[in-house]
Amino acid sequence: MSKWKAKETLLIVGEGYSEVAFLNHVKQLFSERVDGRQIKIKNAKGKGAKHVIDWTIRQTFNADYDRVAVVFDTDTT
Amino acid sequence: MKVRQNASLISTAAQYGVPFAKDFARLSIVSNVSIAGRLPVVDLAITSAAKYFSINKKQFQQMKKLLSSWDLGLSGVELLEKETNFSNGSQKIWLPIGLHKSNKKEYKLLFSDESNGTRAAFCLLALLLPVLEKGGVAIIDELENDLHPHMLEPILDLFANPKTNPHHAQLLFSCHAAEILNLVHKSQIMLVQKNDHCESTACRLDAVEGIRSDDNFYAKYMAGHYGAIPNI
Repeated sequence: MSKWKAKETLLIVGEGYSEVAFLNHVKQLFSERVDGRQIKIKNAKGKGAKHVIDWTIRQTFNADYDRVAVVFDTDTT
Repeated sequence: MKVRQNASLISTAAQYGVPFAKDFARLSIVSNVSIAGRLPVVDLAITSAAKYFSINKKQFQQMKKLLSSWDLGLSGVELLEKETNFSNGSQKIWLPIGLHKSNKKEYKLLFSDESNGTRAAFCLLALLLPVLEKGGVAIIDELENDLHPHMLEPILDLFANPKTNPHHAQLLFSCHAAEILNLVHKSQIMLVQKNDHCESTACRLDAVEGIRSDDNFYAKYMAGHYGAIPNI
C-alpha cells in the first residue's frame, strides 16, 4: 500500500466566467509550486456580490475546505 | 377560460392552437428514457454514439476536448471503422478507442474495456451535444450514474454557459447526488416521494413549507427535513 498524505484544500470562487478563466490560468501557472494543496475553482455565475458570497457559503456546506476565497468586482452590491 | 395555474403562457397558447406558440412548443427533445425505462449503457449504445460522432465532426472534437478535461485519464478518443457480419449481411460499425498517456507513452484501450464512468460520459455527450448546438430539451434519467458526483458541475455548466449553450437548451434530469441541492437554485429542484399508498407526489424545493433561504439544503435534506428520502 502506498503512503498518502492529507492535503491542504482551498476553494476559490469566481464571480463569473472571466474571473474563473483568470483563476484557472493562475492555478495552471503555479500548480507545480502548490503541490500538496488541492485547489478547487468554482463559478458562482454572477447575480451580484451578495449572491456570490451566499453561494460560496453554500459550497462550504457541501465540502470542508481549509481555506475559502471569493473573487468579485466591486461594481455590485 | 380556465387554465392550469402552473402552465406557462406559451404552453397554454400552444394547447389552444396559437401558431406562434405552437412553433415555440415544438422543441427538439432527446432522452435516455424510452417506454421500457432508462436505456442502459451497453455496447449498442456505445457504437451508436460512436456512429453519431463519426458523422458529426464538430461534436466529435468537442466530445474529445470535454472527456479529456474531465480527468478520466483520457488524452483523446479515436473511432475505428470496422466491417462486421450480422445475420442480415455485413455492416459498418464504429468502435471508439480511448487514448491514454503514461510516462510519455501512448496506450490505446477499446471502449468496451474502459471504465463504466468513461463509457457513460461518452454516451451522455452523444445525447447532450446536439441539443446544446441546436437548442431543445435533454431529459436524462439518473444523470450522475456511473460518474463521480464532482462531474455533475461541469455537465450542468455546459448548459449554464451561454458560450456552450447559445440556443438556451434546457436540461431536465433526475439524480441521487444530494449535493446538487447546494449547487443550483432551490426553485430548480423538484423533490419526489411516495406516500403510504405507494403514490408519488412531487414538490418544488422552494415551495416546501418551512424552508429557509439560508438552510444548508444538503444537510437538511439528508436529515429528512424536506421528505423525499427512503424510510429505512
